[in-house]
Amino acid sequence: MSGRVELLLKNKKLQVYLGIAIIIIMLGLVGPFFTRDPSKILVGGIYESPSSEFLLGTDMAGRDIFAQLCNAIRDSLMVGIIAGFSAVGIAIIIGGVLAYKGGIIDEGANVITNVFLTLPQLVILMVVASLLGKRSLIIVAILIGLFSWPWMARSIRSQLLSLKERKFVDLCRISGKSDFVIVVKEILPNMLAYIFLLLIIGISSAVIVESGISVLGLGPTEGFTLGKMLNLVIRHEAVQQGIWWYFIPPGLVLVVFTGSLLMITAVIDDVLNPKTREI
Amino acid sequence: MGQKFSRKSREKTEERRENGIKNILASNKGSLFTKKPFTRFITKKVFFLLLALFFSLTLVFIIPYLTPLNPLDIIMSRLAARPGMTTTQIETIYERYNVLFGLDKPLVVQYYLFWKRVLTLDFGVSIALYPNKVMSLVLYAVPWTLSLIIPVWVLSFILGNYLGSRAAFSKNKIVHTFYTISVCLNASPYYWFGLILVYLFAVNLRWFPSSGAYDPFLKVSLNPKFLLSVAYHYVLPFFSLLITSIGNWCTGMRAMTIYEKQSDYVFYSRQLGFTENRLRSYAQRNALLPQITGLPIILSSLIGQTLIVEYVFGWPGLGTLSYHAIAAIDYPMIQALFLITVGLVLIGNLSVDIIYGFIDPRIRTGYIGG
Repeated sequence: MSGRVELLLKNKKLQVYLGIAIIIIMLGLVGPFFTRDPSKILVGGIYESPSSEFLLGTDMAGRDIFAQLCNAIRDSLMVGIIAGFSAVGIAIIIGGVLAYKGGIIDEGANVITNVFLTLPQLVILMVVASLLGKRSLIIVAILIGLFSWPWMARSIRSQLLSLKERKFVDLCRISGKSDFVIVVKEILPNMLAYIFLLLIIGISSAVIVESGISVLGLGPTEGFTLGKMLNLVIRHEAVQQGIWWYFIPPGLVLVVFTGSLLMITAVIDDVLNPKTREI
Repeated sequence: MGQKFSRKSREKTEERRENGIKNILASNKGSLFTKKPFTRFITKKVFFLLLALFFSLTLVFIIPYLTPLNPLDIIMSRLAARPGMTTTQIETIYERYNVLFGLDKPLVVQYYLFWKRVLTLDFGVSIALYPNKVMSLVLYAVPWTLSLIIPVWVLSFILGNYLGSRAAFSKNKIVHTFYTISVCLNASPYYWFGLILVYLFAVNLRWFPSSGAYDPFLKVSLNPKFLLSVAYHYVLPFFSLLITSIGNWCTGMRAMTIYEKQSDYVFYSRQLGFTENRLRSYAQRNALLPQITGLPIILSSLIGQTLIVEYVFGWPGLGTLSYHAIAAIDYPMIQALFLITVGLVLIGNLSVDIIYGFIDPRIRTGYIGG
C-alpha cells in the first residue's frame, strides 16, 4: 500500500491537481476568518467592480462578494463532505453487507438499489426540500446523501461478489466471524483504494447537486453556498446587467474544484490500474 | 484495483453462469407466463418501473406529514393574502380541497384519495397560477421540456461515444483536447455554463435572447414565424445542456474501447493490415453495447439538469413551472409535476430496454436476465 501511495505522490499531474484542490479548500477554511461579514449590507457601493478593497467587488446590496465566496466554499464543502460520507456509508451497508449475506436479502437490496437508480435524484431532492420549511446545512447534506448512494452500492456490490469467492473469506467464515465483521474488516480493506475513489466522486457530485438545488432556492436557508450565490445572480438578473464579477467566481470555483477532484480520481485510476497504466 | 480473479473463482463464476443459463432455459419451458423470453424480460422491467413509481409517489405522499407544515393551511393563508379574493371564494376553494385531499379523514382514506388523484390525473386548481387547472398547466409544459431533453439525450450519446472511441485510438492532440474539455465540462455545473453563454452571446454579442422561449408578441401556434422565434430562443439552453452532457459518455467509452483494443480480434485485424479507422469501427461497435445500458441513468440525471437550466433561461417547461410551484408551495402542482417527471423518466427507461432487446440478441433469447 505504501508503495502505491509513493508512486502516486511522485506523479506530477497528481501534484498539480492536488495543489489546486488544496488551495480552494484552504480558501474556504481560512478565508472566513479574515474577511468581512458576508451578509452585512452596504459595506461598499452597489455593484462596485473589483478593487483592492473589495477583491471581487460588491453585489446588488453592497455586500462583499469575496467574503461571500469564502463562506460559500466552506459551506458547500461541508455539505459535500457530509453527503459524500453518508452516501458511501449507505452504499457499503447495502452494496456490501447486504450483498454479502446473499440470497433473498441480497435480492431485496438489489431491488431497492435498482428502484433508487431509476428515480431522478435531483427531482426528488427538489420536491423533498421544497416541503421542508427550514433547511439546515446538515439536513440538506443528509438528504443529498440519502439519494446519491445507489450507483456506489451497485459498483461496490460487483467488486464484493468477486472478492467473496477468495480463500481468506472462507477462512474468516470458518473462524466464526460475523458477516458484518468479515465485510468491514476483511473484505473492504481490499478495495480501500476503490472506496476512496467513490468518496472523492461522491463529494464532488454532492457539491454540484447542492448548488443545483440551491440555484432553485432550495438549499440551506441560512448562510451562503456556491449555488445560493448563483441563485442571487439569476434572481437579480446580474448577468443581464453584465456584472461578471458576481457570477464568474462561484461557478469557476465549482468547476476548478470538482474538475481537480475528478482529475485526481482519473490519475489514481491510471496509476493504480495496470490495464490503463502508461509509463 | 484490477479484476484479479483467481482461476478457481473464475471457474466458479463460469459454472454459476452456466447453471444460471440452464435455469433460465428450464424455466422458459415450464412457466405459464413465459411464452417468450423477451416478453418476460420486458414484464420484469415494467414491474420494476411500477415499483419505482409506487415507491416514489408514496414518499411524496408521506413527507408533508413528517413536517410541521400543514399544506392546506399554507395554501389558504396564501389565498387570503391575495388581493381581490372574497371570503366565499376562499371558502369554496377550501371545500374543494377538502374533498380532493380529505384532510379531515383518516390517513388511509387520504392515501386512497391520493392514488385516486394520481390515477384520474385530477389535481384540482393551481394556487401559484390561479385559476388555471394544474393538469392543463403541466401538460402545456411537457412538450417544451421534451423538446430540450430528447435531442440532448440522443445527440450527447452519439457525440460523446464518438469522441470517447476517437480518444482511445488516436494520438491526435485536437481529439484529446476536446476529450479533456468535455470531461471537465461534464463535471462543471451546467447552470453556470448556461450563465456564461448568456453573458457571452446574449449580453455582450447580442446574438441570442437571454431568456424566454419565443417572442412575447407572437401567439403560440405552429406558424413558421413562431417556430423561427422558438428556434432562435432554443439555441442557448440547448447548447448549455448538450455541451455539458457529452462528457457523460466519453470516459466510459474511452475505457471500454481501450479494453476492446487489447482483445484478440483487434490485434489480429491489425496484423492483417486494417487501417486504424477500420479497427476503431470494430472496437467501437462492441464497446457501445454496455454504454446503452447507461442511457436510462443519464436520462434521470438529465431531467433534473433540464429543469434547472429551464429556470435559468426562463424556458416555459416543467422546470420553470416547478420553480413557481415550489415558491408558492403549490402542493397539488408539486405532486402533479413530480408524477409527470418521474413518469417521463420511467417511459424513457422502458423504451431504452426495448431498444436494447432488439440490438442485443442475447437479451431477446433470454440468456441475460437484465
